[in-house]
Amino acid sequence: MSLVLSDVTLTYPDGDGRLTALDRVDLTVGAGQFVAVTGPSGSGKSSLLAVAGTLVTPDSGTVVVEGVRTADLTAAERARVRRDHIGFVFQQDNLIPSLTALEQVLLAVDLRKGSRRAHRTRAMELLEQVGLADAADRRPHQLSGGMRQRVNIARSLMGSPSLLLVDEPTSALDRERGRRIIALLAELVRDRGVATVVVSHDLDALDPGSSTGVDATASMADGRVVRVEHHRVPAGARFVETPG
Amino acid sequence: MFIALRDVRHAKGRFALIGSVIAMMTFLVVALSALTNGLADATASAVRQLPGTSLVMQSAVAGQKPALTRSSLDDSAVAALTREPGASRLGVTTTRVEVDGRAAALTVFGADPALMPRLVTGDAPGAGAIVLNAESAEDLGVGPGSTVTVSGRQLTVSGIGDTRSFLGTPVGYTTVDSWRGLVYGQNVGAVVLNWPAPALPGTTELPMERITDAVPGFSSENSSLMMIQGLLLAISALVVGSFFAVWTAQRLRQLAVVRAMGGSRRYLLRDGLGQVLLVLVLGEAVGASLGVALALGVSTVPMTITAAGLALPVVGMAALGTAGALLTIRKVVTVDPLIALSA
Repeated sequence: MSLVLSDVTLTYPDGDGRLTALDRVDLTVGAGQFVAVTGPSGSGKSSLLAVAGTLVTPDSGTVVVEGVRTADLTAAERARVRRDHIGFVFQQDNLIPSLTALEQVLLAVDLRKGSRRAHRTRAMELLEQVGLADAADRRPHQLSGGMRQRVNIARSLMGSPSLLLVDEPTSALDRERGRRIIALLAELVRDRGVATVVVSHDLDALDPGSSTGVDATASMADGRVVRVEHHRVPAGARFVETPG
Repeated sequence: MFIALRDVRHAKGRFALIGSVIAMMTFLVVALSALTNGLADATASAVRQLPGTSLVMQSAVAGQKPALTRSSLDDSAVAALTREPGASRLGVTTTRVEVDGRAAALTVFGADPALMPRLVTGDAPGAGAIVLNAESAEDLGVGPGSTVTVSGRQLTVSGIGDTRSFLGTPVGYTTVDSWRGLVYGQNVGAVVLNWPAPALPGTTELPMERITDAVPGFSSENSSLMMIQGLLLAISALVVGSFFAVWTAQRLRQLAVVRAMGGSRRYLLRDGLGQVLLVLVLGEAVGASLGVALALGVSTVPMTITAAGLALPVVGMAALGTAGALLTIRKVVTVDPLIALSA
């Protein structure tokens, strides 16, 4: 399995006490599965993404990414896991203002100390697949919101990740553009067999059940997975609701 | 340097501005360093080139530093000091030299033969003769064989030599006897020794490496200029540090994105530090070039460029500028990748 969260609990300092962001959450996502996590603001969606992406170490439980247990790793080792196995599509486009669309994608190569020249063709192919071949030389301020999000997707796939974590990809887009982004994501990750977790508060934009939508949805509230729905063949994707 | 170079290219205006500030500060520090060296040369180059290991002068009165220009050794002290070979008398007086209606300030050194400067042309001075430097000779329009008037006495220019400067005036060398004729028979002010001085009452010995302590005003002038240079270097560190503090704060999210993508701290450090050094090196190269051009092109102000005088401020600027920027580099490498996830 590309991602396994087992009995994961995460708390944050909150005044004199601690706030529980994730409460004994289990989640397993296999290669090629496209699953969504939804819920209201503060339900724990982003915390789940942060834990899965090794950006935060949970208080308890285990997180396994491509067979690597990440909870006991150092910050440098976790960075290596992210570099080698995980792609992020951020809520804000989070593009680097000084880089062109092509350079944004090639940044993933530079972080891996690869030759940008040798990977240029592949970067251009990715931009072509997200419909931005003609905008390769444009910087973020010269792109629309949807185009920036598509660059974000191309960049996240450049490192050939086995796990893709997507944070509110449609929040800055209108409904139609949001659906197109989700459809594009679905096509790209299924083609590549990438395990994908997409976090969103807008279930409609995820188009559950359609061929271009997510395979399964987990609803979260108060740090717990409270409901699971399988829209397509659910093999491999397993959400375990928090007991009690 | 992938992001660093593109940041510089993208934010040309901002980086040109900070580069200009660094260039200007470097120009000021290099020019000031050249001025410090130039003034030091003008003030003390003649005594700095004296051969010997130490110099004995009259002790100063309480609360004052010994000064070559105020010193007067009595006959018994001079006799005691010059009993052995390797001791040379030196008298110093600042006066005027005149010839054909032209006049200039001149410091006359009355010296024994061992202290005479390297000659460029002509002969060492005998009785009633003087050696001038090339600059004085040119200004006065004289050469070997010419007659000049010094303190109302006629002296023959016997040669042109590397006499250098003292207290901002060119130096002329004559014999001790001729010098005493110019100063109404005063005693010489100092004896230069090649061996340790005996303890004589009323005298002070200065090692040759501290000879500038005997030059009135030298240390206060020099330390004032050095202090200004130090302040400029400190200001440069502050300016560079402030610029990169603001710059880093503005791109904290982009740094967090790089960390979230798996960028190592070393990657961010290399990129950030590379950017700082690039801006510093380019700014300094421009500023130092302008400083050198000024020092070489201006003849009305004493400016001397030396390798150390150029390297020290440039390296100091780079070191302090980097130190200033390093305060923010820490923020760069410790950025929390979680910021990338926040809306």
